[in-house]
Amino acid sequence: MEGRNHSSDSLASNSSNSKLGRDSASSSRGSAVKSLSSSTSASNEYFPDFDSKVTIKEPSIVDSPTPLLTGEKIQGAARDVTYLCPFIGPVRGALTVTNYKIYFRSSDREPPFILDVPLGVVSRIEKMGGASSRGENSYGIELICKDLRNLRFAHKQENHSRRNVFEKLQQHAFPLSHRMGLFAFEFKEEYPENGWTMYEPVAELKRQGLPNESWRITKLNENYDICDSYPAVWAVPAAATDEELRYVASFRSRGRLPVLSWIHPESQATITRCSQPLVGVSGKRSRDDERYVQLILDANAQSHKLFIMDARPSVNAVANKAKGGGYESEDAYQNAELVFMDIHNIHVMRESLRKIKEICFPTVDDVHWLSAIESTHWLEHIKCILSGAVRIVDKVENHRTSVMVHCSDGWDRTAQLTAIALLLLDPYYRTLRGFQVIIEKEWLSFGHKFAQRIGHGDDRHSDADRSPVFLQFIDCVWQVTRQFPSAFEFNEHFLITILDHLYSCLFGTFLFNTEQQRMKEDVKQQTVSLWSFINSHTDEFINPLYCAAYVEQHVLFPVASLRQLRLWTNYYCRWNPRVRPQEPIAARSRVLVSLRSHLQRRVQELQKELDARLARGTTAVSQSNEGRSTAARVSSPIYRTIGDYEIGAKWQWKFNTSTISTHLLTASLLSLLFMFAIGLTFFGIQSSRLSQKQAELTNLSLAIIQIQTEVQMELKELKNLREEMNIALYSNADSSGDNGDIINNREKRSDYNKGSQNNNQRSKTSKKSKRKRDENSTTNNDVLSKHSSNTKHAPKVTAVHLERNVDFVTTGSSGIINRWHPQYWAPANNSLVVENLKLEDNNSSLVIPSTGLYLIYAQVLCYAATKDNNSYEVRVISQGATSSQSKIIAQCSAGTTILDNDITCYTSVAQMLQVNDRVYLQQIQKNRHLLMSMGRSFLGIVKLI
Amino acid sequence: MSSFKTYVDITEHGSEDYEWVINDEDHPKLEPRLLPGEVVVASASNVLKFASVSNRKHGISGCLYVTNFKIAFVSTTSNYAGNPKDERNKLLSQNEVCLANIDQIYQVNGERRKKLLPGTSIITNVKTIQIVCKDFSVHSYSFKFCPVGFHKTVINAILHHSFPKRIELLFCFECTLPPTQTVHEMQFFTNGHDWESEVERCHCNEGWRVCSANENYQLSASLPQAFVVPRSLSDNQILKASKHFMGNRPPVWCWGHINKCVIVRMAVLHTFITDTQQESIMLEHVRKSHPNLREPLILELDKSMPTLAEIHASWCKLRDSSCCPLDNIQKFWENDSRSLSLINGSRWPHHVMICLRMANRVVEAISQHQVSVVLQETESRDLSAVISSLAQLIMDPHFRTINGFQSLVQKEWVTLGHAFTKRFGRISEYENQQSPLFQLFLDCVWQMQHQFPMSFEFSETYLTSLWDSLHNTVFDTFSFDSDRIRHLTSTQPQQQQQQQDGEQGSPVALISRSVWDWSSQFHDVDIGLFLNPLFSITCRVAAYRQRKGIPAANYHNVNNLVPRWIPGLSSHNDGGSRPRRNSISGSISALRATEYGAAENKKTDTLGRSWGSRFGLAALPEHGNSVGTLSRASSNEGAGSGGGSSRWKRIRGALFHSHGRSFSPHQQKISSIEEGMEMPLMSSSHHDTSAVTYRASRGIVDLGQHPQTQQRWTVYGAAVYDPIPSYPIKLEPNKKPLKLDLGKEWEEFKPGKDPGPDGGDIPYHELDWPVYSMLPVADSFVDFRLWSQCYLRWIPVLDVRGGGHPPVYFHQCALVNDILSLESQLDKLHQCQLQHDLSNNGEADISSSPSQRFVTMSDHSPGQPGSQVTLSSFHPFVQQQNDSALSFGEWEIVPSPVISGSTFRSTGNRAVEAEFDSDSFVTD
Repeated sequence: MEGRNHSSDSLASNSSNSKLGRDSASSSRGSAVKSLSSSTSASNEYFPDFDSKVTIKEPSIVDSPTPLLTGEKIQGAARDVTYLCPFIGPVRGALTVTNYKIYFRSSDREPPFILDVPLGVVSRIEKMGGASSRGENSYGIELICKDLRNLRFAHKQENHSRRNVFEKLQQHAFPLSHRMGLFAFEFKEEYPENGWTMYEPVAELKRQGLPNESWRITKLNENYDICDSYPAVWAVPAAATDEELRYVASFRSRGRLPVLSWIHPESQATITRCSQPLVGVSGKRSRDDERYVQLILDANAQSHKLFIMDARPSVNAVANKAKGGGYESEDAYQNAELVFMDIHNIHVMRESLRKIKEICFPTVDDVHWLSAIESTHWLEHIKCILSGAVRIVDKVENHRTSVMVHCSDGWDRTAQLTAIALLLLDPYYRTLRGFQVIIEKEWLSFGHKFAQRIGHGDDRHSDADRSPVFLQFIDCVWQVTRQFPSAFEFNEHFLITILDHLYSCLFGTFLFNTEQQRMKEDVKQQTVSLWSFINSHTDEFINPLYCAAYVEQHVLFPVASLRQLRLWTNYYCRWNPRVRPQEPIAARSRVLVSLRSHLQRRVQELQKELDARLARGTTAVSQSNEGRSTAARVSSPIYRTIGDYEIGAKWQWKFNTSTISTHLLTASLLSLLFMFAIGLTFFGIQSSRLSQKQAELTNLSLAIIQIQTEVQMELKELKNLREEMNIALYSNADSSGDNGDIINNREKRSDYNKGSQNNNQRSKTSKKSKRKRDENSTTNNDVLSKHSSNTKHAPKVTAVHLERNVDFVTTGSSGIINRWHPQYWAPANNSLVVENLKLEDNNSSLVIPSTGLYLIYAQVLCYAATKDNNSYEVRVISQGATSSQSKIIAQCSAGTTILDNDITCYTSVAQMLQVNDRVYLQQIQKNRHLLMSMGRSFLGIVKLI
Repeated sequence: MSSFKTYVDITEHGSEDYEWVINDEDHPKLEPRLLPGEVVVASASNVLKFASVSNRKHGISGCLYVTNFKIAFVSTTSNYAGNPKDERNKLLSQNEVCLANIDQIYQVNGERRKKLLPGTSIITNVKTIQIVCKDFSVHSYSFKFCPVGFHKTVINAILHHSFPKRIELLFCFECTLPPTQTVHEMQFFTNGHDWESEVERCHCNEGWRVCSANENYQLSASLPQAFVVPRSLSDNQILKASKHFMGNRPPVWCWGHINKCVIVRMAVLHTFITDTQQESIMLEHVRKSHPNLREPLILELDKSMPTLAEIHASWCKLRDSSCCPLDNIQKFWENDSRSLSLINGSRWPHHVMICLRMANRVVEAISQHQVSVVLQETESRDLSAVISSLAQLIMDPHFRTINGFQSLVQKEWVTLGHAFTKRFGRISEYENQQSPLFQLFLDCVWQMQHQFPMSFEFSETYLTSLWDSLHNTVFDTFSFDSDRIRHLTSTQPQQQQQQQDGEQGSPVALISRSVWDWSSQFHDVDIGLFLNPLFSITCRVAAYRQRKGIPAANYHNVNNLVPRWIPGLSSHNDGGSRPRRNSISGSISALRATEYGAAENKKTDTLGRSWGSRFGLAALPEHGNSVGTLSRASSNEGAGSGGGSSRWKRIRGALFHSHGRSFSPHQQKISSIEEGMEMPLMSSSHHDTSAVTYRASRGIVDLGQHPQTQQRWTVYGAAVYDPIPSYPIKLEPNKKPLKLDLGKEWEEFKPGKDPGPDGGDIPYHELDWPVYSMLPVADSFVDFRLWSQCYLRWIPVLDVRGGGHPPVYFHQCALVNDILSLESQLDKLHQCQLQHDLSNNGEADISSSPSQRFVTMSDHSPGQPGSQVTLSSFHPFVQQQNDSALSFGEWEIVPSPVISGSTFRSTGNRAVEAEFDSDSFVTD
């Protein structure tokens, strides 16, 4: 094909590669040499490229050379080959095979049509047609690729080019089958970042807060002798001895005993992963294993139960008994509950992906598209995995229960489930680097058999061990990113890049089956990590919609319904020009972000320039301008960072007190400043030392800003003070309306009508300094005081009965029951005066008005959805103490074994309480459903003496 | 806004409010909020309302009221207890259903469901009813605890009042709300003046005129008093001809392209008339009005589009099978895995895409072949409205603004007489003539908006809100069959009644309230959500490019339209393993140049490229080389060959069914156009230069000369985008927010007038930002998306809390706000500089606030820091607060099945039916 023999000319290839950096900028002209993605930066991805005219200046080469990577060598070539494109028809050109890729360049088009496919992607090579075949383009080679496309090249029968190409392809597409090395070991590209240092197991465990009192880190498996498919470093229950671990390993399939995957930073609920127990038909038991599972359960003090998530359908789990495997029986594992997740095995998945390929390539069945998608069941499988992960997340996050996940061997479905669950639970994993950690950790180190599942460099295309397990995982991640577009730091392109290099064999990351093998082959030294490439070009992979401040924090609960899932056409159908991606909103946001930074820069420059000029300037006008613009900058922070969504509001129809006072303050400051400016102007006309004054003015304004913030701080403190004063003044009903801000007086009248808002909430909002008029804002803190106002002679009772008028509530993560509502005893004849009691903290706590002996009674009715008990505590917290210093004065527990039942639990206690003690109910179990309607749950207090 | 609903509200309620509702029957507080003119017809207390898609085990208790306007469910947990201002919708609150919205009522007995027929009355004891609404929502009420007998009253009242017999019984006649202030910025097309200005805007004055032959509706009852006809036609001719057409509707002009091709809607001839002479005369006049005297293309929609009944059936199927929360939760998840084929089976995607296809066809004919299009349909009031308005949306950027869109709906639907009464089933006798054509149209618009999120001024929320308002009978916009009835009812009630049915009835005069007066329904902050922040950037880019005369070479937009991985373009695929989007743009034209060998294609580098490439590529597989440039006169050749009764060429028959893009086989000419869709976007050779200059101020953006060909490229219509400082949509309290000022000149674009030392401060021309004069709408079935925000939002389990589009929307709003304020700062600084340079003593008029601002999260949820609000993914109006008890009172009643151990064994591959406590979303 080429005029020269490239196969030995590594010099030429090197020289062309040295230009890569430059060429990447000139990508679109076709004539420019473009090489592999991976070695070039593409930071201009979403921006127009400016068509720089960099071309290769190598006069000796007549045809454009095949662009080569470092270490890449041309192995064979053929001219007069026709590429049969299913979309644009046959294209004639020359074909080159290197030890990394297949490179086709058309000769009859301008700019040339170029096809550049890494050989790692090839799954099967077939000859089309024989010596007898007639007709155009019927004789040639067909490549069936792992990335859902087929490539067909037609050769001329006369020049016998096919055999050479076919042989070379066979050799280099399947090097392992031909006793050769993978290309990753020859690829030597230097990147500024070293991806191999990205994941440090111990550091990652430390990030999660390990070791702690119940979990320890062990290097028992340092030589991979206990379990050859596990990593060297484990986190295991601290109570388990090394000896026990060995016994447990022997009871689990392939020695993959339960090891920690993730621990909840607050509740200490854990996700552990393992393989199936070796129960067998006879139902063997292992006391060590049972004890070990109990240890995992005990490590989480919050829960009395452990969920074992078996990813398989129950039928498969039973069938596995015949092979010596099986599942944990409920008899043996007393406190564990076994759940089957119904995710099918690798063979089903492989078949499903094959169907996906059928409907996506080469043609799309237009009319029956949706039904065709459904018939592949691919989305259904995705849904199963997602819903399984959501279930795990729900257990860990909402129920504080530890979860153990396994399937048969614990390296396919288990990895999918744990990895996605981690992604949903921990915002760290949603960052660019965090996601790399999750792949390194859950997939690579825990021994997902990449080599087998993908078949790197192996020609057994029908190997039953191949399966798109990892692809499915990435697809699930994509589905979640689609549902939460601003929760992930990386973009779709990142996911596609990972998948592309999963097959390409360019990087060492996904090679081999286990950590042990990778160590043996010295992958870290011999090859380049994919993360080296990605972390050196992060610009391309960042999601411009990522908005850490808002969404990053919370736990994601994607909706696992087929109605919310979608086929990832940008990946599966990307070869098909008919299937058009949506206009990328993300790319647009990226444009906007860059535009914003540009404008910011520009504003700064101009401001500087202007300042410089003004400093030199002499006219009075310019000075007053300066004064104004300074004022403007002080008064309205026009932009701030995007994340907090608090860019200066324009609708000022809701004020709260603090902002109004801030406004007044600002206004007064401004006028002060303005007067100052005028004074200075006057001064400036008279004096020639203007420039000095200029500097002074700037200093002054700075000082004023400082003062302003200080005053705001003080205002805040004042507010706190006032709250405390309110507490002190609670008995004084009429005067309690207002003692704080002047502005509040205006709203005083409406306060009584508008209902009460407790103090706590209010102070929270005022802190937010929104310029909103909070119409419900109120200072009426003592909710009960009004009742006591006009009766003087009746006996006084200090008591209250609290209820809540809703059917159901779910207690939050804190378990504190809030929004109590005082229930009045009708003061029919004024014979009884109910004295002041206050509710605070979101109406959860009763504030004791005076020291004395109190009878406290409570009843909580809980909806027993699970076989659980209902327990709550009556707690008291003294004034000024933090919540951790609260003490339990009564506890009440009740249980039932009947499902769908209501468990009620009543308790009462008499107790000496100090003034300003707060009494509240706290549910011990988190997120319980309580029946709160009248008479079912209540809290009451009566002062005895 | 609703953040401070006072849950604990003693001072107001007193003690008795907090008794269990069952115990007191006539609770003073549990009363619906009534609009002026609204009367309570029946009521029942202690009714249970179930959440949609639940197991119907728990409900909230409250009172059910039936009024002459709505069904209102009032409970202690509903928002009435709080501030009425907290309602997102001022007219209808969360638990209220407008009577006109009711489609079907079912009586539920266990698993069995029996339909209750309108007009009948029930005798038996009905425990539970389900009300299925036209907006896909379902409301289930149980009368289990209701005092005996009350349920009958209520159900009978619903049955009676939701299916009125006469149009005068609609609530808009009884409502005494003040009439809306006129929305000034949009055209209502109720008088000749609006039509005239529209004709002028479209530059069709030469060939077309406003005709007032229909004064007092003597010519046609369904046409407005003024409509537009060919200038060469006399009023008498029209009068004479109109008798031959169904509904007396002669051809009516709708819109004109800059190349003078027009869209005309025409009815078919009466079936008993065999003589087609009148039709030919009309068509001849249409032909004459074309500058090149080209024959129009006649699209016979009756024959190529699905029938109205089919569309209605498909609509119902879509609703019942996949979108409507009729089922209980178990059934819902059982059906979930089949949902895709159910959607497909409803054929709704098919109908939507066919409409888009047909619209694309009209666009091709007009912009490519430069022939006028006549849409012919039985009465030309139904599908022709869909197709015509879609085509206009595709071609005319003006209609992609809010005011433009509203004008479009007024023009094509309201005044040209879409029979809303019939199609929406407002009156019981028309029940089987229902057809959701307007909803179909809205769905199509949504598809377009989804494909081109930068090109519409309105957001998805706007469309959803419009969709919600369709059945609100406070407004008369979507209530009447024709302009005439609307006119008569509002002016001469008595006379009209006698004419209509001779019945005696109290004279009712309609107070006209337009749905376009959004402030009567929503608060300003919510109306702010109607705006698409990205559109303002699009405007700026358009303005900037226009003003700067940016050469085409710098303009990259195609890359986003074309798949990134066309093998033909993979020269930039970098090792075949990684897409590089930007590189494709450059090579598209190259590929096509080599593909077609047509040197001309290189010219279409600007906007035309985006169009051409999309169609060119789509056609590639089947028709490699057949493309070329199309013959402009192709449509003329068909003349005379058209068989049948007339010499006019018609397109009819099953166009679309088998092959994605093939045209009907006997219309070879058109199909070749279809394949080779090459769109040299209105180059100056297609219209005389004087026209360009004349229109330059009105609606043409000149994109400058192409460096090689010296041909000037123009974009039509971009002038409706305002230049930067004057883009005047403002949201202020007490002001109607939706205003688009059209009168500004380009010269007022300040940063442009005063370019900085670098020659341009705001690099809009460098932005990779598409500005479409025409939208290359994708119309294959693969491109169909379910409008989930609209259709699925009544299914609470499908709500992605804290996810979905809203965060993206607010993110973009904030971004754009930043950009706008920076821009105005920059502007200000420029002025300072300028003044400093000039040593001007005059006061500089510096305003520091940007001219426009979009709603941000903090505006939308005042009183709550952003992190405490978990937005529903479906509708930005619905916000999920930290306290679910407040805004979603009824949601609380669903105990989460996730925590129930009993469901674990049996769930199978059902997904988790999660109803999570929102507390868990928030970290403190």
